[in-house]
Amino acid sequence: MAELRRILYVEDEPDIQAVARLSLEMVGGFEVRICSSGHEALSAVGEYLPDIILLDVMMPELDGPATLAELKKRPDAAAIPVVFMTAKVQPHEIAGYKALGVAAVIPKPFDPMTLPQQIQSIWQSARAD
Amino acid sequence: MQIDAAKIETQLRELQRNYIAGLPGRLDEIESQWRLLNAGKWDSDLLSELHRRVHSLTGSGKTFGLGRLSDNARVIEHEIQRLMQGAARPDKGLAERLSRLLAGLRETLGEAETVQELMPLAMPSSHKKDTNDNNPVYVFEDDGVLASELSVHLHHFGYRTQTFDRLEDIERAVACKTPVVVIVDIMTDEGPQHGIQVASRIKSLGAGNVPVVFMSARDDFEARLGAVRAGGDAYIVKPADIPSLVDRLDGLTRRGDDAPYRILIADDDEALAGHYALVLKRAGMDVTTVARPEDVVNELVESSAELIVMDLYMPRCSGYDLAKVIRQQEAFVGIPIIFLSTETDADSQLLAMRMGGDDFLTKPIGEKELIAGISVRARRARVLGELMMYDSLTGLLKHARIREALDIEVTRARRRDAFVTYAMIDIDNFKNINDTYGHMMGDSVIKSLARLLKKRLRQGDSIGRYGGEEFAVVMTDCNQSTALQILDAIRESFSRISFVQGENKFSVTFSAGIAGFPGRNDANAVCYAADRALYRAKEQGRNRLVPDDDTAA
Repeated sequence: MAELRRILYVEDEPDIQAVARLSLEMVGGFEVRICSSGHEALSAVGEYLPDIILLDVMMPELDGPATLAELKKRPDAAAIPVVFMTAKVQPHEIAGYKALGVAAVIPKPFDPMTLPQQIQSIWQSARAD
Repeated sequence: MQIDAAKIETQLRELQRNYIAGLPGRLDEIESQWRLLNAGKWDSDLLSELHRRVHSLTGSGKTFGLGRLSDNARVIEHEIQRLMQGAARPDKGLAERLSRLLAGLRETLGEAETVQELMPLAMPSSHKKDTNDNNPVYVFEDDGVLASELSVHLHHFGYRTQTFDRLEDIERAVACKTPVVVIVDIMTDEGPQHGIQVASRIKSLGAGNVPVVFMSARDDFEARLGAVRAGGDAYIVKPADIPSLVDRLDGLTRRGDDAPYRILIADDDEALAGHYALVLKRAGMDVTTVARPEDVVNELVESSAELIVMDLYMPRCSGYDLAKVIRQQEAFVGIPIIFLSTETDADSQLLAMRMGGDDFLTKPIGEKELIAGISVRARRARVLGELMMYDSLTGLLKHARIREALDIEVTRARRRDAFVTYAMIDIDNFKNINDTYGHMMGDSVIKSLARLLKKRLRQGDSIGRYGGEEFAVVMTDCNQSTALQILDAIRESFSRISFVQGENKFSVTFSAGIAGFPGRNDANAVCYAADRALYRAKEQGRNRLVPDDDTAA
């Protein structure tokens, strides 16, 4: 049975990167690749082949939605579930993001102790769909 | 995988230290960028760069335990976003406001210094609402008929049950999957106290935290005492009254994700207040501090604190006076106030209590005593508050409380430029249901809608039973059209629930009227508009939502 192993995390903030890595690797036991920009993510995704992609919404140049749009265009990445991470969570925004094809929106700040669980269940329900 | 919590905590702290160490530099950059913008050419790229930097503080501060930094950054971010919408340079007033806000950001670094020493991150104690809903209720009952009746009823209220009549079976089941609650009949064929043994076996199996509800035909003190000693969390006399059993279950299953106690500390000595705040935060409470007495009422609204700790002696306004001011506001009549004072004189203490203050803690006070003193009182206040606030049938807010919630949310929304939507919901043709199927069924319908609303709305929303078959909902940060979508989906779901009585199956619908702020400019107007919209919904044929159409919102 397939299980969630590899996570690609795209985030421009080094401090948050570090907490996320700690959380996902040590608490969650996942394999994690971190990219600092949308562009970096787009070039990494083809060879890393993550099971799920976590995208910060607000990044310079290519932001979360733009990165998502690029990912959805690519045959090797379109099927990978994408989760947005954002400090702004208004219900209508969540609905808007979901309309873009996002599997879920995780509000920041996330709790490092429960983030892996959250991702696990998002991944499971994304696969079930 | 084994999680080494201590190691993770150490590493998180290390990250926290680094983050905090980098903050002054980041603020320098933000400020100098702002100065550049303000003094030189108005440049939209520079502005969006500034926005990004501030935004990243909003997102990261809380992660590292710096809530105030995040909150303040969010306000600034909001201002900058407004600037970004207009191409022009802001007027002088706005520019000055931003400069002030940015300077204020630096002040929150004071918080960082203390945090570094003392505060752990939001760590394992932060229960998330987990999969409670999916875990079963185990029922230990050897009377097959009773067991299946119970299971049908509980299923109706969203509880999955599994019934056992042998100790080994329930032991095995507990080892496999932890139930949310265990219901145990005390007397079985094995003996009059067999259930007690069963419960203690279950508790000893590492399921010590699982609440146990005892059922018994006896209603005497000895029997109840026996149940308490065996670790029972509730005692239900047979034949079990289902609605009250469900209430107990709801209460017990919610316990796991009890929100932290929300405490407000009012003390003009900011260092001391900060210290108390840290001690209480470390014990898992949400703490807000206020230095100026005149800010207390505002902060009470903002933080929705459940308990106030205040110094007896403050400049300009004594704790006594402040307590009186707080109690003058209807919404805070019931909030407990704990005075901290060096006062050991019984007379002053009596005076304080007559003023409406509820209790005293004497300074100096050790950390342990402070935590114990506050958490005991906060717990009691919460239990009492729940009894006062919630409707016993549905567990929703009572009439007066939902109106209060609307008042408070409209006030908040006005300050924050946000939306609040209010919906009045009324079950269609409820009288017919009562007349045809009886009041028990009517109650069951009301309860089902209550559960559905609780499940589907967000935690920050307030849901109340307005009376009879009427409900009211306050949805924060939610505009009218979003609210319409959400509620319409709930309306759909509700109409698809089928209620069963004997041979008869029937379904029920509701109508709702929706209005909000800023479409209407105060709570009364919102309430009135929602009521009128509800009336129109009924007139137009029921089973529908009608928005307040007299406004542009």
